[in-house]
Amino acid sequence: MTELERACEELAGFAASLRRAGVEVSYPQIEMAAEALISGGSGDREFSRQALRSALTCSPEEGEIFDRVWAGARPGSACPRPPDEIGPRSRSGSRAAGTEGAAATGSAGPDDAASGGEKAGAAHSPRERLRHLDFGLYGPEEERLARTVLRTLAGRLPERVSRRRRISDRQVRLDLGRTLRRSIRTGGDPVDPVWSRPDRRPRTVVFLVDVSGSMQPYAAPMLVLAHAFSQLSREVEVFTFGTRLTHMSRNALTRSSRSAWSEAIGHEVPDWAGGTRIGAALSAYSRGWGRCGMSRGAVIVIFSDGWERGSAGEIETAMGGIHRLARRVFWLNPLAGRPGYEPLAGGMAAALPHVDDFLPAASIADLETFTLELARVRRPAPGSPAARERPRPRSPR
Amino acid sequence: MATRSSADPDRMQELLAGQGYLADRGLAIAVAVAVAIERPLLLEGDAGVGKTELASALAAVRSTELIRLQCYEGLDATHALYDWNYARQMLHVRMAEASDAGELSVAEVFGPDFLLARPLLRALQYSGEERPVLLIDELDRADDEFEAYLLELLADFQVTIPEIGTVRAKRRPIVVITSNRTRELHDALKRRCLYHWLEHPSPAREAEILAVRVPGLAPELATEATEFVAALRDLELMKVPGVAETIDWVRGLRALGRERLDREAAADTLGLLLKNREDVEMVRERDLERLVAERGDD
Repeated sequence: MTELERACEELAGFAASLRRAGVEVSYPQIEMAAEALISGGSGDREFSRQALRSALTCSPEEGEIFDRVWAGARPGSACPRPPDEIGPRSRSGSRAAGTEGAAATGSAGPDDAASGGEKAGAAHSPRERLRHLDFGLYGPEEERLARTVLRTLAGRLPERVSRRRRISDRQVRLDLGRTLRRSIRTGGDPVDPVWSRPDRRPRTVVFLVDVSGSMQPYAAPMLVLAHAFSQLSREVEVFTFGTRLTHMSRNALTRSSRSAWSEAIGHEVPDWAGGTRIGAALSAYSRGWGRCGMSRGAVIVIFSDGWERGSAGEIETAMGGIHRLARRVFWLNPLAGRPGYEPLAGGMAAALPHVDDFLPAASIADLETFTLELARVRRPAPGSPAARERPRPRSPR
Repeated sequence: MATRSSADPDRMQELLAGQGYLADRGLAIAVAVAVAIERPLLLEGDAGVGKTELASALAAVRSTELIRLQCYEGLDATHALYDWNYARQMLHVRMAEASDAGELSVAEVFGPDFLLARPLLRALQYSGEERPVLLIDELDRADDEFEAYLLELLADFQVTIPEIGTVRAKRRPIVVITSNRTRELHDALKRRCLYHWLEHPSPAREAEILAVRVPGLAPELATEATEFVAALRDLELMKVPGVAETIDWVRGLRALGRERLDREAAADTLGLLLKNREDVEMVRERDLERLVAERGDD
């Protein structure tokens, strides 16, 4: 094997290691990496590392994974399994913790939820029963049916005015370019004017889904719904958090939503020994994405039971920041629908003043209500920071 | 694709420093490789870390023109590539009619005289000896449709203008794309570029930058200022100050005759550093004491 062939094999092997670790390396990138290495001649190891990093990764998160894979093995040789892959799968422990959490907030346990979850006197068709059934009581058959139903729930996204213009019949503003182009047909006289009006496009929606132990099995249907929304438009972003915040790429989200119910979600280790560090996760989101512009004018949807292991102050600060930038903040809490539940626990209570819409999320019916509310987001919630900053509406012409 | 030239990151770092841009080794490697293998360079990072400035410095280093396309939502081919000077065309047609100059050909009316070349076309038509630097600034502010359009352009570096024909670039421009990461760029686009994430500089590095940009600055003030800013960047600010803000702030301090950073100096000049009322208030109330105290002053 020539030197070149050996080098190519090493490179391909390294790229494969990266893929296994979660970086979606494409073939053109490997080509680019090869060219980069060749351009450096016999550059030092640091040059190779940086050049490969530039070619094979395209975000700081992928960069971190790259660093771990690079440090863990010489490129090409058998790569030790990175520590972040699929963690232990456990559901039973998390259910127990879910009960504990519910008890701590003074609400009824899952048994009461079962009887309360099914509406008394509701239609007895299986579909209706499924709609109101608490996710915590699902068996495999329900999961299968619910998956289909949830996908159809993702209907409309909230819209906003965009800077592009589209042709319209209403005589709002003259589209000069098109009018003149059309006028060429008529000898330069703009006989037939073309009008345009502002186009509309989907508003950014950011899902922040708590996938820690105490949230299963409620997180799974939420992820399926979030995935369905993300298929509608690129303006939908999904993050999961448990032990740390993860931005879900489109492919990762598809994989996760396919396996959501029967396995631990993604690579998060279910942290069912205690609560989640919600405040830290929200801060990480704000710092990495939200403040940079993703939150601006967006609809933020946080899905969590509010059981916070960190300090309530942390949640308060983080939520305050998010609320200032966002158009509307939803908080979906699977415990909220339970009879007797009140958001008294420190984390939830601290977050609540910064939430515009606090909704339950324990059944398909709840999520359906949420999607209807979501589609209706237009004006900022009264009293929110977004409402205070809103310019006065222009008087109609 | 044959490699045109070899990448020399050390030399690149030196040359950039000569232009007043202090790049760390990782960035220098990414830039050198991008130039050598003729691929676009995608720079992502917070606002104010020096992405745009790199493109300017690079153009100066290569003694070539910087062609800049500022992106915004709604940007389309008309504003980015070319447009026809309709008004001029109309006048031309009218005048020809009025003076009975005979038949006008389409080629005349849709000729180069009436074509307004916007940045992308200018980059393709560039006729200088060196490859121009094409800066596509803040691509995250443009929308999906424009990204798709750009992807096509970056693949072939040619466009077809229906009335004129195909325009091909004589030499591939050096393409630098910047993004503030307000949204995720299209995967296909990102994976076609060499990627580099730009962090805020460390206090030591920022002090070096200050030494270059603010001549005559006392080293103690530089150290104190950069450590203060570094601590500030860790707070929950709505708008994190970038290098440009640090430079302005330090210049302001000097203009006020402050040679050391004490609580009063910091409180007076916070507005130069933080561009947001709530940030200023928050820092003033909560953290100013602590931050200045940590810097070892009164």
